[in-house]
Amino acid sequence: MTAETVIAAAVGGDKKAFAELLEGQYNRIYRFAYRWCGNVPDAEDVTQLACMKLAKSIGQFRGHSTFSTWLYRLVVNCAKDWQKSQSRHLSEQALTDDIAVLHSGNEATVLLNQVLKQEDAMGEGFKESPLLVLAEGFSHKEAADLLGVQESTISWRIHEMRQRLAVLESPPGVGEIR
Amino acid sequence: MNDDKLNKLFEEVSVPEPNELVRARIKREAMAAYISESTQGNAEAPRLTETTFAVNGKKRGAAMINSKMRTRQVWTRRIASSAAFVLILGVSVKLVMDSLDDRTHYLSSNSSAAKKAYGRSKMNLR
Repeated sequence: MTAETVIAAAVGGDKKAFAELLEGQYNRIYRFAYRWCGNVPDAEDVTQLACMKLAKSIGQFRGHSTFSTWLYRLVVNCAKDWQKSQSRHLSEQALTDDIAVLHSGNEATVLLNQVLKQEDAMGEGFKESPLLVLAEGFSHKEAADLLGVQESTISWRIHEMRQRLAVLESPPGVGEIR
Repeated sequence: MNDDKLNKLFEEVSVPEPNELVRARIKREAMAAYISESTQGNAEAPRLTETTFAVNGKKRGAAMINSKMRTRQVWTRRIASSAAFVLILGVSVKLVMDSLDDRTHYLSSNSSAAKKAYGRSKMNLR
């Protein structure tokens, strides 16, 4: 069966087709969740939420956008919902997470987590824009359609991320975050 | 910072492989949710498409009507209502025309009687 046939059958209520679809999309969902959360246990929580949501709402997929776009929209919403539900504990866990990331020994992971954390603090939509464009390979226009914002907004958010990264990479006192 | 460096940063961040036990559990729960959702038959339940007919070979529940059948029903209803409208309009026009004919006939017969009466009165005057 082709990908389109599998999606159509899963939308129609075919269990085998849905199992095949879930198997094919699981890694994609998990990868995005991990980049969003920065650690495995939280990524698994978000993945579970997204898979449950997918199971409950796949019947509503009408093909107005591509399945990939629809799925990412669902995953982004699940990640946001999860973040809201966890907001009370996030401040307590922040230190533990930072230590865990530092122990992972990956400099890029540490740097990216710092930037994403700052992006997230800037407001809604700042975190998902670079994740969709730079990590998942969406174009600015596709990401804009997915998040329901202007294309220029996405470009600006990516630009902001570059600025922050440049400041973080520069020696102390050289740059200053606007 | 250029684009390449930023992209490279994302590439360097390695995503650990998903835990197989967790993956199996999540898939099992999602399948259970999917089955429960499709057997509930509420407004959010998946609708049956032509592809599903081909895959399942059977129809499951009144809510899962084939989209082609639904389209045919809509068009049949539209054509029937249009035909009824044309019929009612035709009958109404016919009735109006008949009543107009009667009226014309009545007026014309009345006018000839009036002419006769007028002629008679003239004769009397002479």
